[in-house]
Amino acid sequence: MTSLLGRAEDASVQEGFLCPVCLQNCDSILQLQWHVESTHNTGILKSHVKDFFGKAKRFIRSGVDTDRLDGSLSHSQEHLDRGISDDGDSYIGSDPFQWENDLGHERSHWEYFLTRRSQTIDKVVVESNKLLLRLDKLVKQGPPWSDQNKRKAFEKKIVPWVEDSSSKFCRFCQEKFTLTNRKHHCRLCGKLLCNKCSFYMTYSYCECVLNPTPSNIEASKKEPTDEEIAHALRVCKDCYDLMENHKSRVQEETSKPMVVQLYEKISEVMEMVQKIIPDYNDVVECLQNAGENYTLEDANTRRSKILKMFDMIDSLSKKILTLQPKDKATNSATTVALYRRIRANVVRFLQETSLELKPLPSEEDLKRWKDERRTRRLEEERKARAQEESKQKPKSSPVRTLTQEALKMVPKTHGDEKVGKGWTPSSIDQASVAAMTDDPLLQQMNIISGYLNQALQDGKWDEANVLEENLKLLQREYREQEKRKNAAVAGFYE
Amino acid sequence: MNVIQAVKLYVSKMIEDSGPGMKVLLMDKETISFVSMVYAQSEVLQKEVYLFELIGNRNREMMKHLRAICFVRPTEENIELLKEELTIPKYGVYFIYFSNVISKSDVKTLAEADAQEVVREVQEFYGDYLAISPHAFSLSVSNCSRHSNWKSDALKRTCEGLTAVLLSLKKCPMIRYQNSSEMAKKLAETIKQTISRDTSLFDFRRTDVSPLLLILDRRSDAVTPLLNQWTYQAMVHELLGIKNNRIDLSGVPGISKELQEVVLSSEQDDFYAQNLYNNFGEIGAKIKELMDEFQKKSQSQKKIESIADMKAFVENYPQFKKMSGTVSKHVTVVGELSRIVGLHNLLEVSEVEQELACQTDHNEALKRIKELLNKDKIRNLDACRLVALYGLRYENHSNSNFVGLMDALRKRGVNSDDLHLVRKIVEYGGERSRGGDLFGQENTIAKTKRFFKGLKGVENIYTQHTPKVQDTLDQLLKSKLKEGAYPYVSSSQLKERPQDVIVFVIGGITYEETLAIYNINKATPGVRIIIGGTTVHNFQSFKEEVSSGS
Repeated sequence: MTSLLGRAEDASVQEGFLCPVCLQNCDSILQLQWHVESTHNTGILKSHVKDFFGKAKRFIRSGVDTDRLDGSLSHSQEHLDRGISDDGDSYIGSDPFQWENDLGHERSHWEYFLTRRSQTIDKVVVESNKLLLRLDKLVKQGPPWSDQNKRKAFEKKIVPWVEDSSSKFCRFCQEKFTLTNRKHHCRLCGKLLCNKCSFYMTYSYCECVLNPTPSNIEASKKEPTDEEIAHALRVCKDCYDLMENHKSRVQEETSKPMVVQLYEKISEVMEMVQKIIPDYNDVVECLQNAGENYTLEDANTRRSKILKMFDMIDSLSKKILTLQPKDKATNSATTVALYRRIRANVVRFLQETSLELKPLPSEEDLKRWKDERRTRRLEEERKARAQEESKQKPKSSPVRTLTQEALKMVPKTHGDEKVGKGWTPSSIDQASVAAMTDDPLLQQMNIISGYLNQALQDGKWDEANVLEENLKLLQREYREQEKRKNAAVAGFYE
Repeated sequence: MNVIQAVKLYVSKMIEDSGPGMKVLLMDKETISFVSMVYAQSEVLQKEVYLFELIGNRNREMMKHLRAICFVRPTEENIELLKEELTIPKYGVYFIYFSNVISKSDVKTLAEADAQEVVREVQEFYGDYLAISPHAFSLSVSNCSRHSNWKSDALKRTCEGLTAVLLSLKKCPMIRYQNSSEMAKKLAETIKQTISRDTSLFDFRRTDVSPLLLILDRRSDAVTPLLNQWTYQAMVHELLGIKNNRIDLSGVPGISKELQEVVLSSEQDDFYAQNLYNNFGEIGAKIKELMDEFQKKSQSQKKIESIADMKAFVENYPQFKKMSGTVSKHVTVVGELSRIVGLHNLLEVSEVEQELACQTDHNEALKRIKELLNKDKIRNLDACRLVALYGLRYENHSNSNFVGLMDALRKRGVNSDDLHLVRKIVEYGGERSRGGDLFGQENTIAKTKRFFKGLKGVENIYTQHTPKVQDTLDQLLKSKLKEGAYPYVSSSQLKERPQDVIVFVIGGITYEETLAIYNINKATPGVRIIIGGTTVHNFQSFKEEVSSGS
């Protein structure tokens, strides 16, 4: 198994911040961010929306795993495939690679397990509590003893010892008690055992069991002195295990290893990032529409907050890598593998989320958007006025003014939509998009987001919605594709 | 009816249920292969599963801060290991999932071992099989018979695996079996008993048409595993061997270190998924297309004419390797395939094999086998399979020269074990044990079919053969499958045309058959068929199956 795990490391972890688009290696998350924004910014593209939609759809349909794109789509597809379509003779069967099913049958044994376990546990808990009480008395009222006989008498008082004659054999090693193989009593349960099978609990160990504070734990770790050994309590294996279990359990509850603390912090920040990103994107979107609820400052603070979080996640995960496995001698390969994989997962997270982040608009962008918005509003007002005028004076002098207004509106690619021509985005340089990346999905995504920006600028909400949906579809497919690509490269488990 | 998805959903559910935090997947040797068929490491990594461990490994590190998802088969050994694990837990909490039915007393044993209260869940999730394709599965049970009868552990495992398939797909089927096979009858009855013993487990929502489980025996078609294959997946398995989606390429001359073992998974490798069922020529063309495109971009003028050129090209252009890591993997695989084909004259061999399986000209076939047996380039392996095919095909022909061919084999220096094996194959799949018409001689409909086939001209002489299971399902879907030859195990019968069919072949399936089922699914509306077998054969593994089975 260790060799299996060892090899996985070589294949699966591509260290560093590779740009998901062009695989360029950037040194930090900030640089990657900057790189993505400057190099892979969505361009302004050229083509007709309809045309392009056809392409995108064809692309999606021809993909093997359309089912993962959209449940409902593939569902209807499956219906079609299974011949429930109504176009008579063109019946075809279904592609097994597109079959869908729900979670298979499952059966839980949890209830039964629980009742069975609580029966056992109760016994253990009662026993363990009894021993703890005894131990407490033995330790608190006991030492230091100078007189061994007095000590024996005291211990016998707290824990009743069984009769020496009750057994002829040690219950652990089954050996007969003799003159040389003497009988001894466990100081916690009072039963017989031989010297070989005895365990010893020093007082500092007992303190640690009873009250596992950090200082007590430290004290119990020290090499015991001869005196302590001489005064240690003789116990049997059963009692020792019970106490040891109790101790380690309490300890676990109270202490968290470093890696867990770091990991929890990372998870927490990741969650925060995922919450704040849509918020930031909303702000940028609002700015793009020249809305007045937010300023560039708002976007900037949110953005730097996100980037700071990215940085934090990055450095926390690097810190995990530098942790030293507690147990250096034995097979700490697993721990090392764990740390490396956590780091790999963090890097992947940073890559993916930085893709979701919209670029920060510049002052010029903002100005341009505002101007556009202003002219748009002016025109709308003018149009409204015109309509009102035409309503007020339905028949007298309308024709000329109206056409004049209409003429003014035409070059702004606006009012003509009402005539039924529909809206199309203007200049988009497809070649420049294609040059940026080889992946057809990415190309399409870039093209769409270009359209989307235009649609938003032109205030075409319906089109924008459609475009946005398409973009999401493509993004999802792209993520799937990336995942599969990674998977294929990484191989499995070794 | 998608078995890959069925197992995948189980695994996702386990991971989901175990909540947030660092996780380790604790499995046994079998379940680790089940999971690896449907999930890539990087995919589960995203769900915080950072480690994979075998429960049998006692030297695992103590890592109390991890949550353990334990997915194991409910074997005696595993229960014992789990008991040990729970007494001294290595991880913080445990979510336990068994891949099959577990007894109450075993649950009790575990409950009593869990004194530290680390267990949070105990469930049965029936992902107890290898999902090969959405419509194909294997149970990884090789050499399941002895003296034409079940080995008892193989029967137990097969029954468990098959019921797990049914449960994971939520199907409580009617069962039909191949009457000529004792083993098929026995398995059908055992499954029936298992279902009726635990009816509450199989109490699913009734569908209009009950699903059907059809149990067949490899003996009814021993020809298919003898043939050389030319579609990608089948060919890779025949010539290189696929084991749990992995291919061992360490024997390939001059192989680079990272390609000594490659993973071919239709779930994670798009190129593979698209070319699974394409034939050798088409794949070469596809790869060439990809490379041409890349060349155009890199403005290289070098011509790519042969597969050797392709290999050189990949080596010289590291960017290409990066851009399409998977394609370079396939170039290596295809390169190796083509080397083997050339080295052993496999095209010629395959042509004769196909003629034997599909044509009726005895004298011509005999002549060509004799010719091939005289060539040094032909492997003994292929010589054996030709003679075995001849034996199966013409065992009762009046001019049969089986003895003469065996003599020729001996003269070639084929060892006595292999000679014996050829006889065994003829015995294994011969007319007496197959109890059905394999070559379509008696049936007049089949004859006319053959005649028409001949008229149309054969598109590809290397892929003329269709496995028998295709005919059987054809008849089943036309409701023409004879009751006498394929009886129901209970008195009730399916009146309608079946919709969901699970075909199971005792003695193993082949990739040629999974392709055939794929094609039936694609061509037939309203029907979903999956196929499974005790294992997936190539000639090598089939030889072992036969030699241990007789």
